[in-house]
Amino acid sequence: MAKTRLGVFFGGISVEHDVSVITGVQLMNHADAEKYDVIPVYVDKSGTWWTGDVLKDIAWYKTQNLMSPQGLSSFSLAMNRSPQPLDVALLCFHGAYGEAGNVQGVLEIAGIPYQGPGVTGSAVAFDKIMTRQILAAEKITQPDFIWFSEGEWKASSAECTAKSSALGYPLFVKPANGGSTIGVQKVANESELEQAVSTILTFDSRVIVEKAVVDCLEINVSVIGYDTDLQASVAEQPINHDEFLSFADKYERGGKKSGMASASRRIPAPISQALTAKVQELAKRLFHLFDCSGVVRIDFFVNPTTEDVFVTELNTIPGSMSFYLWEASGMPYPLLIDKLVEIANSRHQRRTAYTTTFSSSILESAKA
Amino acid sequence: MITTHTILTILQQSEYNVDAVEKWVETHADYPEQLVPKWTMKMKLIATLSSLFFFLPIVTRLKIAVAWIAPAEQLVRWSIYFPAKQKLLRLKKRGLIVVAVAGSYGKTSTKTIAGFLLSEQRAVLVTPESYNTLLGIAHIIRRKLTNEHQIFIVEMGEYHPGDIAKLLDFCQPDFGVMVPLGRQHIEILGSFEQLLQEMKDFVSAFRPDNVLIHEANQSHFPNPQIQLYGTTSPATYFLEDSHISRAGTDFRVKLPGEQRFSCFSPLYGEHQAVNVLPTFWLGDRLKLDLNKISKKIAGLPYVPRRHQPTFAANNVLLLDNSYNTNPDSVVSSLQLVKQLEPTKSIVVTLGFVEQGEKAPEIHYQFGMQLAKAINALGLIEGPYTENIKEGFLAGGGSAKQLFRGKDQEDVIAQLRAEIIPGSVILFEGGYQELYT
Repeated sequence: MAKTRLGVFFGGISVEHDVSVITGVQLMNHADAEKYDVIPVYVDKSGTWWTGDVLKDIAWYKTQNLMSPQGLSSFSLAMNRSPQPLDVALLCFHGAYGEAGNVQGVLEIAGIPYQGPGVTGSAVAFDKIMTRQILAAEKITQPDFIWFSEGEWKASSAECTAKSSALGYPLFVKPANGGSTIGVQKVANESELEQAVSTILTFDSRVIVEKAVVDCLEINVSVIGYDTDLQASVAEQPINHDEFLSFADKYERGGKKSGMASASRRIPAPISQALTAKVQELAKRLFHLFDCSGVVRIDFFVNPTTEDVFVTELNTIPGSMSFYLWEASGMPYPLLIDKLVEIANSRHQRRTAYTTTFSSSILESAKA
Repeated sequence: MITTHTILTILQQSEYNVDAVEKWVETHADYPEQLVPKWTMKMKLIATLSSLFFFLPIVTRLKIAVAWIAPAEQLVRWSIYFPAKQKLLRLKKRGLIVVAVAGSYGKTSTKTIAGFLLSEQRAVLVTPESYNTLLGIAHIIRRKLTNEHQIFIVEMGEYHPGDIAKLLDFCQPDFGVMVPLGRQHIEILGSFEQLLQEMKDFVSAFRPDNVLIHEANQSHFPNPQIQLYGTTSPATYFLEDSHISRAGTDFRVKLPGEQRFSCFSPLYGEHQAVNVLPTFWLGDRLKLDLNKISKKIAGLPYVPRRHQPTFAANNVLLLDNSYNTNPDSVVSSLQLVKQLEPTKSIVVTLGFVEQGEKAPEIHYQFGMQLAKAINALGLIEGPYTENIKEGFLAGGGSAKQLFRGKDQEDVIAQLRAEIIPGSVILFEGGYQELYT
């Protein structure tokens, strides 16, 4: 049986280019070689598409100028449904270039199966303001927020500041678009707010300001699937750097390192089974609501005492494809890849089965 | 050879009980050196005075120094006690509730947890860890207790016969909680019977419905009117359906009248979850919202060095239980490690303190228990290392599973090859506090 030609897409013109390279290379190195011919599709920092086996080695990237890498073959897709160089694509982009629906649109036109979400889900989930408005319409708990555009800020920064301040400090100020924490700032007063907005307007034309929730744990859950066939992972709690101190103090004192690095996450997260189930159910609801498919990580703030759950964002192509959450849920990375390929094909089959042509006499009676 | 520093440390930790120190010195000839953790004015004075009699044996010198400063100290004490007692009585008249916690194991956890869980509904002051003597409690009353406080939770320590009676007379508590009793402190008190006498004084200070006792103490206080707490049904406040994972502990609390609350604690293990039960009892007695108490448990902070976790990369979990002084609780520690489903279970230990003449046998048994439960054992060199090792080998452990080092860092360095992703490393027992 012929192997599936699996295109792994990563890189791109994005501040998260390097993280995407790591996600892509990790995925390529975990794909079952018996089943797949892995075809790397790397988009360099200038936006040029490349392929080549050297792209599977993370060490190679350290030797290159990623604005104009050397020794690669150019890569392109046919937009006219002629034969393609691959059977299925897994997108490993993070950030505006490949997570916001653009590349998804290209693959739709080229007729190549990919894990999703599609153009709509990707674009909407990538935009924090759209996401918030959908959550509000669905009455799903989220931090209080307001938003404004660059034009509104320029016309009346005082009004924007007043609306923001009315939420109550501390506040988080974020660009509407952007999948990482780049540009996100926590502010404690009006002058910090104004400074943060000025910085963010160099990243994006719209700004979202949200009230910081208190006494909450940051909890993330991944969901995999398509339509109603969904599965939620165990929950994780990312550990911020400050919490490392006790460990370092204790075991790395006097420079005698124990050799054990601090954890960057707790799996499972320190919340009850019932609260975990509540977050997982909400994660699946959000996945469906935002027309997602593939593997998505949804981030929450959870108050373990009141059991309030606040949605913060959906990452439609999560870092490292959240493989660590799936491993902890009993799905090793190679099986996760198989599942994503299966989703890509199912999704593609269902879409190609839809009626896309319709006989009509409109043209016969049309006048130029 | 036992050093002056070590003897001074023991003197301070035994609350200046020179007779107990003398007895201790006789049985701990090769004890590793301890440095005095707190150089209080009293300690400095004793050290200086005793140095004047350098030609005498150290214990004799200490006896002279302690006796010498006693009259002056008594005056100072009264100048602290009297105003503190007046203040406490005044606040009690205004409605302050005083809760006393006594017993051997789990006092600190029980009072700390109660303070945290009640804080949402009442203004609570809890005595800090080392303030469990008359003088210490009097200091806290003078410095920290205010008109705003509604509940004052006091830990009571027993270092000398009659201590509990004095503390009860001083604090006049409204409610009492007795945690499990054990061998801790018996070197100072003299015997377990003396400890029981102290605890009988404790129980008799309350109406039967105003005192709660851990089920393990039931045989010593067989009064059916006294409520019990624990993990079995004879207790009227008990845990059921506990489930332990690396997330924490899910459990249900059952109260009299079939009332049940589903709870989650980030703290690991049923033995830690049990310590929330006295708070439910108190909440019940004080007519507080028990549902709020049950929810608040999910935000409990870890208790330092009592199965306190540190999360390392690759899902390696370090559990620091080095304040454990109770060899009987090793079973629950090892059970906890098993429940956390480690790929490898590793214990690092120095042994246990204050076990009296039975210490070698207790450590031998400890070694045997470890052999049946773990994959690798790190032994920090100490007075009972050989006993633990012999027990470990006799229990079926092999020499290949044993790693010895001069201190914790050394042992961890030697164990490094044993630590694989998903391992749990338990740091059990230690000598940080000899008399707590």
